[in-house]
Amino acid sequence: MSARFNLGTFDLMILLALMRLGDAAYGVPISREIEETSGRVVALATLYATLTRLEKNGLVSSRLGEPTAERGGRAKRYFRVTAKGLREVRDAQRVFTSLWNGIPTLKGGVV
Amino acid sequence: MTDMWPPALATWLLKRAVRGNDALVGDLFEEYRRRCSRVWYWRQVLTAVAVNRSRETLLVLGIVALFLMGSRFSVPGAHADPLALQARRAVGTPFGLFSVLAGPQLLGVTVFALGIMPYVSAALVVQTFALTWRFLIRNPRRRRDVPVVAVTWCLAILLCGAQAIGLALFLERSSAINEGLQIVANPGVMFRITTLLTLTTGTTSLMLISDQISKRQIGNGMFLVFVAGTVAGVSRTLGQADPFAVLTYAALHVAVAGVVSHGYRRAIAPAQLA
Repeated sequence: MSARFNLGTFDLMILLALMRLGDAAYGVPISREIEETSGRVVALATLYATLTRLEKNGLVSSRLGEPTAERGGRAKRYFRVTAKGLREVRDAQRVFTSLWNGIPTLKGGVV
Repeated sequence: MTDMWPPALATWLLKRAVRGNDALVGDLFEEYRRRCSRVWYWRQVLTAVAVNRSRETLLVLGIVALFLMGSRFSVPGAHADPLALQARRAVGTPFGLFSVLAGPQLLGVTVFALGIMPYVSAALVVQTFALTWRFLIRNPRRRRDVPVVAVTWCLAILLCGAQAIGLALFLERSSAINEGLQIVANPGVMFRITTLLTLTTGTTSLMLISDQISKRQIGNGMFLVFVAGTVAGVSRTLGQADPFAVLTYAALHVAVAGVVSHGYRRAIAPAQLA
């Protein structure tokens, strides 16, 4: 059995953004997706550092696209969630949902 | 005014920081064209430097701290204050120029007075010799490769020893010429041996740190140690020497750092690459 990976909030946000974007997931849209949904400003270098860590742990995979002129002749790196990554997201969802169920409804910022 | 091209200096810095991560450079380029904000671009680049070069930055700061700690310890038997006073008085004379070139570590006669310069000099000499050797004896059967690392270390320690003895003699002579200046309390063989051992130990420890940095592939060890020494030197000099001296010291060290860095990229300078 492979070792469990402890997903942080930012890791989970990235994995969910990858799942929402599908085949078009590379640095710029991923950061935009997270910024638009969470309101959190994302530094691309931090995003890449996290994606590299997730890739090393087998949660995402990547491939290089074709170089384009609007990017100064540089290729895009597309990312997708692997089966292991998907399992981790499902586990996180299960844990969060079960924890959430035990809490009374949040109203006006207080429990 | 902003244009479609991001700031060149920031891009230059980014490319060096991200080590061939072209996708990130391309992403920042693409996003810059949409946002057209130099501030945003610079912030992203500085974050990239902090994320990708955090180990190097911490390491340089650590070595600077080591230099600053070492600068508190002078060679036993030497009193640095009269020498520094003499250097301040000698502005515009050959000794004044020497004091600028030597920097605060040498004038303070500290443990790291010689810095990593003997190692840099030895590496350049040995690598030049090795290249010439390979060029002269082209037949691989006849050629025996030069043991670059061992020879560089031996030469560096020899250079260090020679410079330490030279410094000890210089200090003794300065005391003898200027009778009012008590730079060396008890001149003689013991003082020379103490200076030799102290300065060689200081430089050898810097060489060990430099080699470990390079072996662990954190960066160019020789370059990082040299830069840390310069930063520590400038920080000690600020507010004490005249601005021209500080600028000259910094410019000279930047030039040497450039040679070391260039040599590393071309794989000719650092001995540990062999």
